[in-house]
Amino acid sequence: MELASYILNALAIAVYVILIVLCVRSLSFRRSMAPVFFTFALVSNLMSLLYWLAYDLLRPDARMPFAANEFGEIGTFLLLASTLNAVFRGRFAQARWEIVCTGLFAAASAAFWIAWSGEWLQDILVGLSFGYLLCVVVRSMKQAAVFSRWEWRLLGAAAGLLLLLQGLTFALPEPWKGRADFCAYALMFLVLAWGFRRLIPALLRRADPCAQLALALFCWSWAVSTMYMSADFCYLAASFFSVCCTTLALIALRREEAAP
Amino acid sequence: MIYAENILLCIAAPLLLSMLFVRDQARRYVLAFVSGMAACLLSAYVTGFLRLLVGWEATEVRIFLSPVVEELIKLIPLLILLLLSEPEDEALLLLAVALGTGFATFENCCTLLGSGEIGLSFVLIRGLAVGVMHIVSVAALSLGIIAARRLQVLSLAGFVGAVSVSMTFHGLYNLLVSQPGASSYVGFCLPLVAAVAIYPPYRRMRR
Repeated sequence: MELASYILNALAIAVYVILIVLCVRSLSFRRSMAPVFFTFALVSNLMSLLYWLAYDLLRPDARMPFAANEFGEIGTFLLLASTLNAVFRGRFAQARWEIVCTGLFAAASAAFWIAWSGEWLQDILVGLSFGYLLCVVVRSMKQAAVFSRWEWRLLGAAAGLLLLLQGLTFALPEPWKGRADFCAYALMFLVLAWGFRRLIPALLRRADPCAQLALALFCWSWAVSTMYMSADFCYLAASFFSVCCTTLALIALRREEAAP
Repeated sequence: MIYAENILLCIAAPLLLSMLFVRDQARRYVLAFVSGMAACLLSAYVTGFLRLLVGWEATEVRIFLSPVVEELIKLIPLLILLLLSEPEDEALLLLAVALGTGFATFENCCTLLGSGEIGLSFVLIRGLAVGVMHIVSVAALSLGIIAARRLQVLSLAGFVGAVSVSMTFHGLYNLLVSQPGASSYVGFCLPLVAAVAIYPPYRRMRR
């Protein structure tokens, strides 16, 4: 599993380098700040991956008390949120309830991260920036009318059920704990698959580029959330999906730039 | 023992005096250079205080703490400059480069005086790598500010995100050079690679 993790990380680094080169060469950086923010976000993610790989190789037995790669992750979240803000030029539809629910989801997720790792400060900082990104993604999806009303309700129910299952893993004894854990993993990947089921056709039929970008970053955020709540194989799978989402987000951003 | 404050005084005094004889851009450059050196000393104070507070080893402080503290303190003069006056793009870039150069110069002086006898090749490599690293991190940040100002979207989230990138870059450099061998050579090359990488967007933005 450790070898697979190294290989996947090295592949992700290679993909990010290619994406950054593509970004710098193909985007114009003249019309909007979105490509600049997106390129910085990719660089931030690349730095974070490089730091993690270098740390694992140089200090395999030493625990990170507070690592610079967490700043890289915070930077990625904030810069991706800024990318969406620049694409939608700050014009978002009313989404009060969705934002409240998203805020609660982010706060509960951060609480679970703290319960798992015991790292208060970094989990609160990462949770705040991740929550901000989630709120901007939700507002963008609402503005681009990506989901219908019942789909929003379904997504809310899935997020609530996920938190309940994660909470149960702390409270229940074995073997119920393992079953709750399995259900949580299944739910996380089911929502991710549903996100891709919406994203791929939108990209293929060249729908509204803003909607494509919002959907791609929703899938990316969900993949990252899945990574933070998983271990071993599931972590690697979610990590693979996050790299795919970044590539799809770049395609959407290029179409948005080319749009009249 | 040579105190860091004494080194700062010795280097800064002639530079500050020279400001009486130069004007405009040159005067601003000297002031930003001295500010960079003062920021380096301040970050050493803050890192030392935090080290006492958390009780970490010197290596851990170098890897985890100093990148965060140094990048934040390097920002202070740049932010003051942005808030007090609204410098032109070229002037902002010049001041950012001077700030990074001052910071790197003072750090190099203190390291060399503190570590005794070391070989010329190491001095050259370290001097170049640290110099480029501090210049690249501030210059990249100032390029981001220039781009955001041109398009009139100076967002807080974007700014904090850009600062996080420079912290991660600095942290990666410190991690790689913390151990001797191949990793340290990769670390020393990292700032040069970054400088080469940011050159095309820099040229495109100046056009």
